[in-house]
Amino acid sequence: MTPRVVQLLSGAGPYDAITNQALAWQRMLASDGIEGEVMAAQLDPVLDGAVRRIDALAARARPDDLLVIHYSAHAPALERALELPGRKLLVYHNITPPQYLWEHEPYVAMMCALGRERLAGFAGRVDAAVAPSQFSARDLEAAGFHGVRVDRRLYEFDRARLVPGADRPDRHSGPTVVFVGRLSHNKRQDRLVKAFALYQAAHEPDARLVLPGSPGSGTYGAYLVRLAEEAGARNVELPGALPQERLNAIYAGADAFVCLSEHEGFCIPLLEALHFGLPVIARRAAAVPEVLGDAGVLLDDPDLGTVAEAMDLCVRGPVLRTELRERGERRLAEFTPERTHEAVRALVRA
Amino acid sequence: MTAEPRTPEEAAAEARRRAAEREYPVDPARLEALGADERGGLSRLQEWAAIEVSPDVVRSTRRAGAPITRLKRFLARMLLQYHNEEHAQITRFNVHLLGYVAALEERVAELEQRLERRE
Repeated sequence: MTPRVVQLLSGAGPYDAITNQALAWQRMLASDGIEGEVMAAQLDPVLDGAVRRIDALAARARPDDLLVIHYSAHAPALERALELPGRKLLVYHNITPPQYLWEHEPYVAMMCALGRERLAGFAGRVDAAVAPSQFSARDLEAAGFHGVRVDRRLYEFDRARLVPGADRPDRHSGPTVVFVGRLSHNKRQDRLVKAFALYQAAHEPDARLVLPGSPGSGTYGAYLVRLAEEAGARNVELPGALPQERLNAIYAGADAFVCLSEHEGFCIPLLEALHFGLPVIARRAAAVPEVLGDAGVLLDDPDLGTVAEAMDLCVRGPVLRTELRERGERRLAEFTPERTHEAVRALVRA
Repeated sequence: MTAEPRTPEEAAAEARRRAAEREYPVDPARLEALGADERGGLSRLQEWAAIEVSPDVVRSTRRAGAPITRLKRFLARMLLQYHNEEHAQITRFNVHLLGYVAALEERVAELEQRLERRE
């Protein structure tokens, strides 16, 4: 009987990036004739059928299965999977350090603290571990893992889903600055709001800042709204989590993408921004430089003024925009679904 | 006047140079200082530690749900003994944790004072 690949997640939801990656891996492996399934400890009922509850794992596991443990949060069920026979591969998607979260999302902070602490318990108990960036691999090494592999091709980046649909580009009378990501303190949307306030005051009074992203369970979104008021920033929009078509319209109508995040295990929105030909300004932190390469304006520990000036240069400089667009296209050639397929196939066969 | 930067590397250096030279209409230092830690300290935790759940939260959200609301409130009354014990255990944890945090806060303040005196 052909060995199956059983992927295990701490949680699964329709808009969850890791769930979608696991399902993409499953499709890729199926096209190679490798059977498999995806199971999750917490499951959104919308996915019932595509993803199974992890409770069924012990009954369904076969000794020759490859168990792929997607580690992104604390989940005791994933620890129990270590007791099962079969080869095990741990894919580390990174976990936000809790100090970023205690203020606005204390429950998530506690779960992240536990997740980071319990990671060491997996070291030596899995056959291999892989991370999508050197930055994440360092967490694994610090937790006691040896021989950690790094492969930037782990995440499927399918440009076909970024084709603008029925929604026309969402344009504004002034320039639009955008950042896409969950509203979370590690992503530093608060610093972006402040830098934008400075940019608006010094350069473009009619500029707009759009911050799509899930508000999560905490108070950070309300804090950002208050902060924008106190900073005197106008036209700051927090539309929440958006369907892909609506998000595409925002990208298509934007003039610059600015990422001041301090902790990212990968950051797929950087690649999305490159796809739409947007000039990208980013803080040189975490895995951001590994993903962006030389295709964006990377700033070392920038003050608010430097970010505001970089926004102005990117929005108004045609030569710089053309150079960034060309570099962006070259960068995207490294992140194709075919290359992800090769990486997944190699991991499973290794 | 500096020429327009042609590469992202030039743009990063030029942004830093311009930021150092520009007089902004808004004080960047004021913006930096906005939104300091909003946790609210011990007083907010003390406020939350004492649990008080209004019986009004037990209700039906359906149209014409009055009988269901009455049933739910009856069940809540029937489970009062269990809920009281649950409240007692949660409150015990909350207040002990609060006491522990308060003691730590005092120790940190004392250590800071000692450090200041030494400096």
